[in-house]
Formats: sequence, C-alpha cells, structure tokens
Amino acid sequence: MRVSRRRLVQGLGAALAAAALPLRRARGDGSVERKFLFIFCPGGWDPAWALAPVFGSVATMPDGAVLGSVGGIDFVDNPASPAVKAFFTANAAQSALLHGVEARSVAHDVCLRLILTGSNLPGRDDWPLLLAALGTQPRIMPYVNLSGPVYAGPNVDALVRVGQSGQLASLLDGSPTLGADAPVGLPSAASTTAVDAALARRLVRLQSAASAGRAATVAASAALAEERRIALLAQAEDLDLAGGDTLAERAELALECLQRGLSRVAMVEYYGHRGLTWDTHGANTNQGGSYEELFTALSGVVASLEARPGEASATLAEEVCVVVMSEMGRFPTLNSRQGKEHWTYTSTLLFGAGVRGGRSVGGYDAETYLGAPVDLDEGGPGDTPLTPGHLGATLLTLGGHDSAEQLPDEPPIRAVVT
Amino acid sequence: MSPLFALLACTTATEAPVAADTTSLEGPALLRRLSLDLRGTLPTEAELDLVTTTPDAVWTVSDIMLQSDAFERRFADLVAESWLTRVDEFNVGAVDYGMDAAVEPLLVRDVGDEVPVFLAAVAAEDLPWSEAVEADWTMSTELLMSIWSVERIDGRDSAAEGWVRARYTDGRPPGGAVMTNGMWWRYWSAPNNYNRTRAAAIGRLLLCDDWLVRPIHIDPSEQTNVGALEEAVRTQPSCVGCHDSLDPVASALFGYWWFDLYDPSEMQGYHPEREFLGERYLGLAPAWFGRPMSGPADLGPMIADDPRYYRCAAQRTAGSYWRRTLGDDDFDTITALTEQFAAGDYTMRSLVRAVVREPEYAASGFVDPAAADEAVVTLRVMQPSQLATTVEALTGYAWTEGDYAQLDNDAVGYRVLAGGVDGHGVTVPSELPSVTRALVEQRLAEAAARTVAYDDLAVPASERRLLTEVDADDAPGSAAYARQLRVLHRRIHGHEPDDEELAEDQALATTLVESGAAAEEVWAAVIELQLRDPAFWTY
Repeated sequence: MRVSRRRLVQGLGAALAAAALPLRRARGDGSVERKFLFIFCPGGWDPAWALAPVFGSVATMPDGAVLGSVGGIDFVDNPASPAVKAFFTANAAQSALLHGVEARSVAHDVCLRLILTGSNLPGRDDWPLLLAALGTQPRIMPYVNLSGPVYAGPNVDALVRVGQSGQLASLLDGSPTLGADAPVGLPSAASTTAVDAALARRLVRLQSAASAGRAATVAASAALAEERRIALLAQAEDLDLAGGDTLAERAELALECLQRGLSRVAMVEYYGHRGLTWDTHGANTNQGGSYEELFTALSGVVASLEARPGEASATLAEEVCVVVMSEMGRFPTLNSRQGKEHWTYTSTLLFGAGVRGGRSVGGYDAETYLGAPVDLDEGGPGDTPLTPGHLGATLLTLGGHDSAEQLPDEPPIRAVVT
Repeated sequence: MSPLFALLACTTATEAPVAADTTSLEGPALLRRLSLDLRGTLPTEAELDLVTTTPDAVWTVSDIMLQSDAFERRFADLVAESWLTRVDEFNVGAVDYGMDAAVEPLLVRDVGDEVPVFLAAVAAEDLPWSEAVEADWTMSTELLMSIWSVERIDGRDSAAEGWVRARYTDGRPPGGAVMTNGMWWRYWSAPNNYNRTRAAAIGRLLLCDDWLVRPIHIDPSEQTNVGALEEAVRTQPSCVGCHDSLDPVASALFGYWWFDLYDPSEMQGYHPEREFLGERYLGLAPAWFGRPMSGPADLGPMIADDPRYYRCAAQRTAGSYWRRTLGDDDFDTITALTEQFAAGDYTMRSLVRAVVREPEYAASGFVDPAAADEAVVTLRVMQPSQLATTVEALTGYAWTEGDYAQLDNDAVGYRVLAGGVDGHGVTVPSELPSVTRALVEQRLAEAAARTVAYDDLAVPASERRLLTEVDADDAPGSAAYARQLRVLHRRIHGHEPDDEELAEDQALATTLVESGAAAEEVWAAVIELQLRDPAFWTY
C-alpha cells in the first residue's frame, strides 16, 4: 500500500514550522504516536544462548547456563552473558519474548526479507518503513536507517539512510565536493537561496500539472523530498548524523532522532561483538560476547528513554517501542567446529511503550525444535504457528494501525499488546 | 556526412507497436529515454534536431545507439545492477595482496566489474548469448592480471577503459561468466554450505529460478543433529524437492572451493585438483537437472543448452529496461521476447532492440488513468550511474574522491543514498525521489554547474560545453541571454523551455547579478537549477 504523498506534503509545511517551536506535540486526538527503535542482529542469533530456555530439549545449551525467571520472563541465565539477566531483572515488566517465529528459509538474504516483510517477493516495504509511512505526524526523516537491512517498496521516500560511513552528514555540511579529487567550492548562500526558491516554484508547478499516475507520484515525492531536504539542512547544525561507532552510541543517535520528532522509526544494526557476527557456524560461544554487548546496550537504551523527554509525553519511554530481532535462529546442536548451522525458527524481543510485558509467547518443541503453536490472544499454547506476518501485524497494532488492512490473513499477537 | 545521417539515408524508419491502453512517448522525449537507457547520456543536438523534424527517425537513431561503445558501457551498468556484483568489499583486499591500501578502490571496482564488462563485451560483439556461459576468455585489467593467473590474449578489447580480452591460465574450464573470479568472489560459499549458495546464484541469475525463495518447512520427523540433516536432504521429500537439483550444480563448482575464505592464495585461482570434492562432500556427482556432467567443463554448455537460460535473459533484460521485475503475469510477453531473441541468433543487441520496441518501453501514461497499471513505470528516474555519466558528459565534472567514483560506491560514496543498489543490503534500485537523493543531486549539481560555468567562460565560445551563446558581460534580458537559456534547456531537459521557465531563469539571474555575483556564479546558479529540476533527472 502506498501512503498518500500529497497529504504528507501538505502537512510537512506546518510540521516544519512547528519544528522551530518546542517539540512536544500530540496528535489531534491528544494521543501519542508510537515510535519504534529497531535493533537488528544480522547473521542469525542463537536464542538458546540467552533468550529461549530450552533446557531438556535436543538443543545444546551453553555451559553453566541455568533457567532464569523473573517477572514472568523465562530466559537463559548464562554466566557468559550476565547483562541479559541484568536487563530482564530490571525490565521484565515491559518486555515480551516471541519464540518460534518461522522464517521459512535458512538462507540469510531470504530470511532477512521474510522476517522484515513477511514475504519473499521484492517490492514490499519492510515493517519499519511501513510503520514510518503510516505515521500520522509529518516528519523530516520518517524512517531513519542508521545501519541495517532495508526492503523498500512503494513508500521508499519515507526512508532516509545515513550511509555506512556517515555520508548523509557530509551531504548536509557540503563537504563531499570540497574534498573530491577535483575540489569545487560551494556556491554563495545567496545563490543557494535563490536556486532553492526557483526550484520550489518549479516543483509546485510540476505537481499542479501532474494530476494522476506515475508523473503525479514522482512530482509529489520530489516536492516532499525537497521540503525534507531544506528542513534537514536546518536541523543538521546541531545534529551529528555521523556520530557514534558503537551500538550504544548509534542507539543514542537513533533516540535523538525520535526525541526531536524527526523520525517515527529508527534502525540500528548490531553486527556482533568485535564484528565477529552472529553467524556462528564455528565457535558458537562467540554468541556470548555479542549477547553481553547487546544487552548492555539495551539497558542503556532503557535508561536513555527514561531520561529523555518525549514529543508529547513526560519521557520518551512512554512513546517508543524497541524491537530487537535477527533474521533466523541457529540449529539446536553443535557441528564439528563447535558452531551451529542455520535454523528457520527464531525469537524476537519487544520492550517499551505499548508492550504487554512479563510474557514469553511461543517456544521450541523439546524433540524437534520446531516453533510451538500459540494462542495469539492469550499467549499460551494454541493452534497458530508464528510467522513473520504475525510479527508484522503485531508491530502495526503496537503502532496503532489496523493490521488487517496490510496483513488480513495474519492477525497480531494481541497477547503482547497492551 | 556523419554516420548518423549516412545510415538514415539507407534505412527505412520503423515504428514500435503502441498498446491500446497506454499513451506513448514520441519524438524527442522517446529519443531521450532511449539515449539514457542505451548509452547513459542525453541525446546530442544533432539527434534531437533530426527527431524533432522527423519523429519516425527515432528508431533508426536507436539502432545507431545500439552500435555505439556507450551501449557496451551502459549495458555493463545494467548487468551490475541486476547481478549485484559491484559490492564495496570482498573477503580479501589490496593489503592482503601486499599492495598499498590506496589501491583498494581500484581492486574492488575491477573485481566487481569483471562479470558485467565481460557480458557487455559478449553483447557488443554480437556473439550468441551462449558465449556468456561457454567462452574460454574473459575481460581483465592490468591490476587483475597482476594478481590473478590471467593473461592478455588477442581479440577485441572492451569499450570500458582499461579492460582487455584475457584468459585464465590456472586450468579452469571454459565457462564464461560462471568461470570467473569476479563471479565467485561475490558469491562465495561458507564451509558447510558446500557451494549451494553459488549454485543458487546460477539458478537465480541464469535461469530466473531461485531455489532460495522457495519456502521451506522442517518436517517434525527429522532428527535435529547435523548428520541427520545431511541425510534428510537426500531422503525427506520436502528437502529432496530442491536439493536433488541444487546440489549436483553445487557439486560442479568445487574448483572454486576455498579451504580458507579469507586467503588470497586460495581465492585467486581455480583448483582443478579439488573438483572431485563435490561428489565427496555432497554425495552427488555434478549434473544439470538430471543430466550428468562429465565434469565442470560441461556446466557452461549445459546451461547454454537449457531453454530457460534464454528465457531468463529475456526476462532480465526486459526488467532492466522497463524498470520493473517481470514475473508470472508476464509469461506471454517473455515468450514473445524469447522468440525474437532466437530470431536474432540470440545476440543481446537483438534482444535489447526487441525490448525497447515493445509498447511498455515507450509507455508514458494510460489512456484511462483510472485503469492505470502501477507496475508499469511510465516515468523513470535516473539511476546514480546515469546521473554520473550524464552530468560528466554535459559539464565535464566527474565526482571522484581518491579513485572512488562517488556515485558508484557506498564505502565512502553516495550510490545508495542516490537510489542505487549496493549489491548486498540494497538489491533493488529506488525508482522515486527521496531526501537523500535530493541532497546528492544538490551537491552534484552545485559542483558540476560551477565547474562548467567557470571552465566555459574562460575559453572561446567554440570550445565551450554549454555556455556557447553568451559572453561574461551579457546581461539578463539580452537576446544572447535568452538564446543561451533556450540552449541550456534543450541540452539539459531535451525540450524548449516555456515562457514561465524562461522568466524564472531570467529572474534568478537578475537577482544574482543585482547582488553583485560574478557572471560565472550567475550562470552556475542557472545551470544548477536545470540540473536539479526533475525535468533533467526524470525521463
């Protein structure tokens, strides 16, 4: 589904004016538009290391690990990753775990697309982009992708990538052509202002002339992009979009974008401890350092959410739902290199605003390690095997949207929605 | 007489069929689309003049474009976009070869370009498309020949600068693209994957049949240990359905088997002595969908003997030029194109010619907007590679930094931010404007416009690129100014400006002149405006 660009263009002018004012804003009905921070762990994490306490099953569990249980959340209390226990001890009440979500592939690229879009077909917006496009507040960077996978379809113009080495910041400060092999200085401010004004008039005329079809779509997108460009240049003076190397630093930057109302959705990728990746075909113990660093950062995210003012709430914690996920899980048993192969079932962690916490939904069969069917409403055992579509529907519901419009055949997991 | 007019004199113009439900571009607008797609640059003044006066000449001009060197270079760009070979990093880099780190951009570019440049050469030489998987030659550069077992051979070199005809000397069998390092550096295999990723790439890229997108479902009866899983792929129906065809193809690729995934001595060459490992690891001898191979040398010929290969070429080529993914709904269209491909002796030029003459290619809209098919891309947005080549051709400005082409990489460049693909994370180009693209356009336009304005006004009019009608002391409102503005619009947008646009340009120039800006700065602003105008970057 493509979200109306004309509506957004009309709204952005007012939003930009508002951007100069104190940023606390609410929707017309006084409610707060929920925002999302996605933290993506590419390569396929091993839920059995930290998230899914499948003791007594076929799965090889980490040495020294025991069942951890706090506030309704069961997890793997693993001495190699104490930050996991610390996180759940402090945040179980606002956290929910989804287990046994079946991606239906064991190939990274395909699983990525499936877990993020619910389909293996190209041309579909992923969950972050869809949520950004469905947002009711006009924003300069509806979905800011600081790093991580993106699947873009009809709403691609809601997406803003920062670039793998912070290229967006360079574009904003004008340095890329100054530092080029053939350096060229920037035009004067007067020239830039005059060209921008002339271009804006052309874009208005273009929109008037293109009343339907693709021409209208391109014209509206161009106008929206231009308004966002000007607004982003204004914001860039005190926003370092190139900032941060670590997960914690990048997550802070993401939260800054959410706090300022620049974005509804942000994504940060976490590649694993020391860049060793989550794809542990050898040395599955490398999951330990990654989970430790991840959950240390997640505790920092919680603290930052609580310390930051929200757009229309006392704290950002009241507005932001955090989604921590990986495209696949790992095979239950170790291979000859003490690693684990791919597995089509995985787990997802949700916490924060809108999440009915203290819940673990789904699981892994003790003998087959297949995902356990669940009751979507109650969260206990049931008849429904979890799919990426259920995850997407849940995220849309958390965002305040009717997921049936996008995913009519895959209802949300209401058990984890307040 | 120019080659263009010589050819026109002895050919009869033909017309593309027009679909009943779409409106079509004609004349200069269609010429512009053809030129950007076939050559990656705008039409020349002479071509525009010709098609303006003789609209039917557009297809003859199109045929001339197909014969140009620029077609070969542009075709390589389209292959790279579709085959996803231009990535920013490979498992090893320049430093691993003991070279200076500054060589890295060149190495990455050359490795990523080997397959696209080779396939473009097959197209440009009018060789049958079977050559793409059967050739005993490739294309290479001095840099690649210095680190791989590749030697230059006689034959036509590429139109791409620095690329020459070459041949691997490490004992690999002939096989065109599927026997290149460029292919398998991009599509490598993890140890327990046993080349299945590579076989899947062959299916996806050459047959348009992707094993990987088939949903899998784990049978609860399967035992969850690795050994049993390997057994399951031979015995469980839900596994056998894919693995019985996938694994024999993977088995043919063990000459590329690397015992260390990050060792240049492993990766740089083919290992004939490892060919037998396929059967040992996978338990299956090399075969192509039930047809046994005597060895990896049979892989290319068997692909070339598979009708799906040509059908897939038609499907991919149409998708590249129509800017969408063709699927099951296009079955009849793909069949018709494949027949035309066959009638053209399976030369890529014959296929491209057929593709651009289909009604969908020229579609500009729908007769009944309410019945519009959103899948049909009636207005295209220039991809980063087109922006780079077009702006350089117009202004002389090439945006590079430390040997990185800034619109063709994402390590330090702006390819993805401008809507392109990076080969790994972003695999489908964006067909719509975005805020990051607007920023890239701004910076590119600023630099290019200032470059050409200062360069042009420093030399006689006869040596200029764009500012051919004015002197530095001409004032807005003068006849020369108006003439120059018309020329700029025509050169950059492909059509004459309307009165409103002319007045706008004059007003912009007047504002800047009155602010005391130098003539170079004034003209830079005017040119920048034309380059950022959607009339330039859409087609």
